[in-house]
Amino acid sequence: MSDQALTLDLTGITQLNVTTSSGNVTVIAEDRTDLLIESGAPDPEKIERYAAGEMSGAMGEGHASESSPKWGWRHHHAESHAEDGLIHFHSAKRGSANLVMRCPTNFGLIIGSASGDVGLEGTYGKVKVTTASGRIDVDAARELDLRSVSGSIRVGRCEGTCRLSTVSGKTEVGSSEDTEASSISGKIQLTQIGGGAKVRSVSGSVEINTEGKGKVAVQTVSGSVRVEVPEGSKPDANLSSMTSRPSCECPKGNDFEIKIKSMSGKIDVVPH
Amino acid sequence: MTAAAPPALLEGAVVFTDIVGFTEYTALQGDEQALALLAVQDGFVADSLPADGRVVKEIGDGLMLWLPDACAALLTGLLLSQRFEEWSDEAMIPLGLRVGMNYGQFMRRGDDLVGHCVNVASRIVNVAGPGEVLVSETVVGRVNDQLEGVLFDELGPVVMKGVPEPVRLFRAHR
Repeated sequence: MSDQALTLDLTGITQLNVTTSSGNVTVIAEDRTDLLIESGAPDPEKIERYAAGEMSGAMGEGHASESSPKWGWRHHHAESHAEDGLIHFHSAKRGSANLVMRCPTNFGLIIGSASGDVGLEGTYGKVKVTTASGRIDVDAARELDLRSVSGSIRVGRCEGTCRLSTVSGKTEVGSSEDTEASSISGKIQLTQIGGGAKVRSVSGSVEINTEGKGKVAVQTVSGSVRVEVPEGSKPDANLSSMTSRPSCECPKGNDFEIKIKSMSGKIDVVPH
Repeated sequence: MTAAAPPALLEGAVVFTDIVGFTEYTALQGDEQALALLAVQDGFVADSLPADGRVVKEIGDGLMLWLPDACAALLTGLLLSQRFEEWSDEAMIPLGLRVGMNYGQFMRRGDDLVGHCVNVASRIVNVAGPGEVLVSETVVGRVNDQLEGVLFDELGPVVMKGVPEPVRLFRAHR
């Protein structure tokens, strides 16, 4: 692996794939047309060899036979779906290595990580991140699918569909449209929902602030649920708890639907 | 001691299911309700599993299924998920079923199945959220657009504990 920064041409490429077994991944989306790998860059010679088809392993098929760490870089046309511009980073056998890179604004990213944190600064297109224990932090994206087992998830803004899943980590979203979030024990906090929200929790608490423009559905076994709705709105609230009395401080109407079911958690629906 | 018969090599789809929230549900509702819930799940499996598939084993509230055909396995997983969602909604019980599946070769050990393919399938279900059906790239390849109305959203390469190479996963839905 080289310590030198590396710049790669992104002509015809709209998406990057990154996988790493350990080490943090930091991506900064900014006004540029190429990809700059500032830290953790591969040996440029290997990249050229791979591009020329001389390295063994089929990165596009999710496999590689080179000894770790492995790097691949391949140019594909935009229509080749997930195998567009592929970076494969696998550092498990040599310990952790941090990857820092800069890409164009609105770029698509797919990142798979075992234990490292994933931080995405700037604005992206479609982003999918899966990590076992790392934290996921995304400033802004058009569409998101983020999954972490024990790490927390933070999203600043998502303009389209936002799907988030964690087992024990906390989930925080600044603003989003249609949002699906699930957690076993982590708290879920959706600060500004401009579309519908579907939230599932086992024991983690749920806090949602909705603009009242879509259905809000929450189910939890034992977590508390608090939904804030616009002042003066009249939601069609269907609240169900087996052991506690749900509270709704809003007049009943048909402005939008709220459906909350809980076994033992407290339920509150309140105006902003 | 007689020599054991050589283990049989099998091929097919391995499906793992898990009821999200079952432990908390049992703690709150008691063992009898937990058993009743598992009986509901048994009913869904009996209705959904094709004749050539089988329940390999029960793992607490989870199940391990084997089906020789990937399409049948996927339809079974989707049907199980759908039936569970409908039941959960109607019964007002806030639980969700998650499903993970893989396709490949593995060995039979008594009534159990053993192999890398099985291990990967068990990891896949851990990535799924409640109500989701996640499948590996090999399942998608075997299905090969044979199932009308079934869509796949790629999650990308997922690094899983103990699995040396990332596995491309897809969320299957109708």
